Amino acid sequence: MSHGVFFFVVILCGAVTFSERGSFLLFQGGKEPHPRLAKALRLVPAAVLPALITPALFMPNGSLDISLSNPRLLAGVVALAIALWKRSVFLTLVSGLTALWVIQWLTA
Amino acid sequence: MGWGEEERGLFLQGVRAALPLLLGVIPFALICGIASMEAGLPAWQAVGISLVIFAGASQLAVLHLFVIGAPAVVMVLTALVINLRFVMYSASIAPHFRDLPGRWRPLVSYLLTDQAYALSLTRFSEKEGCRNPFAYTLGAGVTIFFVWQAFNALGLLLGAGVPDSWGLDFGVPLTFMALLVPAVQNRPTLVAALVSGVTAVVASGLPYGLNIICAALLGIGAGLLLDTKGEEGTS
Repeated sequence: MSHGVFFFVVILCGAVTFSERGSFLLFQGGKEPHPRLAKALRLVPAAVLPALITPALFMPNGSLDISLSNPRLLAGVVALAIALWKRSVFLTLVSGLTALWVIQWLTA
Repeated sequence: MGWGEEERGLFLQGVRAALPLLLGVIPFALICGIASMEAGLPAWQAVGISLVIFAGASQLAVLHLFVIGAPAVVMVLTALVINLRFVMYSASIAPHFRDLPGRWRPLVSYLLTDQAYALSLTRFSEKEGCRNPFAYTLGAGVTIFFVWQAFNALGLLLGAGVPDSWGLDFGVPLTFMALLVPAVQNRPTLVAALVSGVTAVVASGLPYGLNIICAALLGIGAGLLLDTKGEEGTS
């Protein structure tokens, strides 16, 4: 795909994203969603975010690695514990990145 | 819309509330900028993608799909699925903007990032309420917007200058983890999360990164199934 075509696709992605953000603000005039749709929508963040997390933890190099020699998996477990305990984006990031650095330094 | 003392106060409240979250926004924006350069985009496109989409997770996914040579339809569908969560945000926040004139609504929509949404909804749910939700969301949203764009641009300049060993890209899944925890509230959401997380890994062999779409759809399906069953059980 050429860069020109790619940027056209980016504009389409932007239009889709904007429509999603505006779905109820722009087109529904503040109406409540249909109960069944509301139920599905409430599940969306829980169903989308893990798909963006688990490959980065369990397959950092492209293949499955469930072992103690996978620093990203270990650091991810530390960060998850902190996320559950403190419920803070900042502390989750700091603990996860620090854990990664420490583990990499220890095993280097 | 006239801006008095109260609106300015709420705007600044939004700005201040956004400040601690910037520690999550900054590395994420840097990574998006670096990824755009590594994908070989010209600088104007790398700036453009961040202005046009303004949603980091989908930007990274689309860049990845571009690098592996996926077709356009997969790129658009992946962005659509990853950003489906914004429909939920839009639906849950829209009632607070019932009185906002139509001309301001596109701006609120554009600025409705994960962080701006989370801050706004938390603020609007406070006991004393929020007299002007627009001013508050604008304060938080604009702050995140400028910091995001600035650090995306900085990422472009740094390019490959940040050593891989820093593992800065690991900040992305960590940010999502922090957003995921409050989203898991009951059994249906927990099951949706588990099904999605497992599917994304198991289906990682699918071409063009289709595992993300499959994982999200299966997760929603599993959650809905459990949700309906649970209701039948109690009724």
